[in-house]
Amino acid sequence: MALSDCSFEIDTGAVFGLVGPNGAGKTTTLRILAGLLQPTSGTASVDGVDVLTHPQVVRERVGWMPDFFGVYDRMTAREYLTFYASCYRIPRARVARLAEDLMDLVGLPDRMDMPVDALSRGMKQRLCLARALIPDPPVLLLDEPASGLDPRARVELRELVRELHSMGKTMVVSSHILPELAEMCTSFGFIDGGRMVAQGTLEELTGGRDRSTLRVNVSGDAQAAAVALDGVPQVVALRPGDGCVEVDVHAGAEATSAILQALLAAGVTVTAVNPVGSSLEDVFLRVTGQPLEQSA
Amino acid sequence: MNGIGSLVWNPIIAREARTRMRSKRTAFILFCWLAALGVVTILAYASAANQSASVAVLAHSGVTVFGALVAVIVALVLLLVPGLVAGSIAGERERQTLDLLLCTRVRPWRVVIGKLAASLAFMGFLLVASLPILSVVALLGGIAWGDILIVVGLGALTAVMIGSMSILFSAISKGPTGAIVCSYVAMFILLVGPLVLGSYLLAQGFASGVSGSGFSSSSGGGLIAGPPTVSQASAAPPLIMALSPGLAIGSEVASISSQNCATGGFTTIGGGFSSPAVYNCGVVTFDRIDSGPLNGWHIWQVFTVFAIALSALCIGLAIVALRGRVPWPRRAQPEGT
Repeated sequence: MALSDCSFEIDTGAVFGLVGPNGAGKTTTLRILAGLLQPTSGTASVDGVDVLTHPQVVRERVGWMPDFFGVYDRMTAREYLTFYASCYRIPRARVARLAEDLMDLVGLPDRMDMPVDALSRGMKQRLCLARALIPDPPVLLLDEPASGLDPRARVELRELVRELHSMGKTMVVSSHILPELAEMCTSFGFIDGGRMVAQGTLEELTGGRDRSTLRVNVSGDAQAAAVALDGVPQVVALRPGDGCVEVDVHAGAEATSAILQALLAAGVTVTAVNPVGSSLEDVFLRVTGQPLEQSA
Repeated sequence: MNGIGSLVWNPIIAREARTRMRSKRTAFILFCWLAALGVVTILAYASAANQSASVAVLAHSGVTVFGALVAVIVALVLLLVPGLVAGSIAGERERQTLDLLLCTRVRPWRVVIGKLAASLAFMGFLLVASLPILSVVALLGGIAWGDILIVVGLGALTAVMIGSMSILFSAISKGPTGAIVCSYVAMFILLVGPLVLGSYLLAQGFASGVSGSGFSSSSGGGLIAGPPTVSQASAAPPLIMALSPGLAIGSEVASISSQNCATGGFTTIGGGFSSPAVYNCGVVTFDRIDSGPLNGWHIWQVFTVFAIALSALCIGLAIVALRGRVPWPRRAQPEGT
């Protein structure tokens, strides 16, 4: 069974990150919410409408963006959007303007008359998002929107999600890469083996502790660095390694500053300080018993 | 949108037509289609005209050219339709655009009808493009418009039937390759199966000396006392043979040919067993059922009923298969249950 014991509720206007390894049931969950898959038992409703009793109504209130964006050959982006607009029975008089507005919104105003199959992956992704926005749905379901995108396209996608959030859209964004979601979501749900194992805001999930790990690279004896950091109040635990020390700390900015000050005072040459994982990853590790990247 | 507009609304047809016409493959298909018809017309006409200078034979050449054109068109339709239709829905599934389509207000039945109509409209486009060549038949004379309409109708019905079978395979297959292969195999079985089975039953009838119920044979040679053929003296072929589009169309063309010969060929020149016209007239055609509940029906009428029924069944099953992909609306549960 792909899903079992998977209950969650998303507030209106929230950006909900659905996190889980590949095969955890993210796509199945989203397909049920999109009215494309019927659960064998249980209920689901979107925007107050029952998916099981009124799938057709739900499909019009949901913008669905699958992880693989199918496009037609020998069509321009304008024709692509016009076709889907006609599938939603948008009056012909409104279609041209709508297509232009949507292409503007997703940042592709100058690609209107380009063949769809000639667009880059990132552009296709944004065109697909424009397609999902055609019926102006209050809810958007984005399945692995950042997969396969280069770093720049990811940043653009994140900005786009933020803009849609500011427009009041409720969004469910799935991913198996946590840092990608951490920056754009307001709440999270961890799914593993078809079960919703934890959910809530960042604050709720981390219990307000917000503990994180920093890797401090030094150009000398790592042991000496560990000794220098031993008395720093923000430091929770120390693990000296080869040329670096992994430090578990309480807070963010002050902890880094305190660590650097202690190391400089002890005469240790610091070459780099990098965060290792995130507090969300710790939570995922705790609730599933395995790190996300490994299970993916 | 008003009632009728709402019923016929189908954005898929326009999109399919547009993208198909932009493909280089379409230009290639059109070229091959017209080239094949053109070559066959020239050869058939030249062959008919060269055999004899008599007016009767030339008058019959219209039928010869018509028969040849019908044979080529039917062969090309059978060759093209599964390829055009079977890949349509399965192709959407492979491209993963089917879900995007089913997310919209387009219901599964519109997808099935839209895809089938778009492919058949392309066949219609090919037929319209071949009108100048077909008009040669009208110029040569010898064939009534009603006959042409029946044969064209049977060809169109064959296309719809094969297309409906193909759309069913397209709706249930995971990918276009499987759908196309299954469609060609099913088409071959439908085309040849009834003939093979009918021939077998006919042979059994011979062996046992029992005349099977089936068609009556009518011969254009009846009026001219042509040499009797084995077929005329034999048991009638079984009814099942009428289910093959090949026999339905073939019997109609042969019937036209024999009528033409009887009324035009014989009466004009006064007969002559050795002439090609008389030889043609000697062809025996099976065009009517002479026993059983369908007594008096033409073969093409039996085939028409069968083709419409099979098409409706296949289209219905394709819609059911596609609806199975997306949830049916469930009845709302009463409160408190």
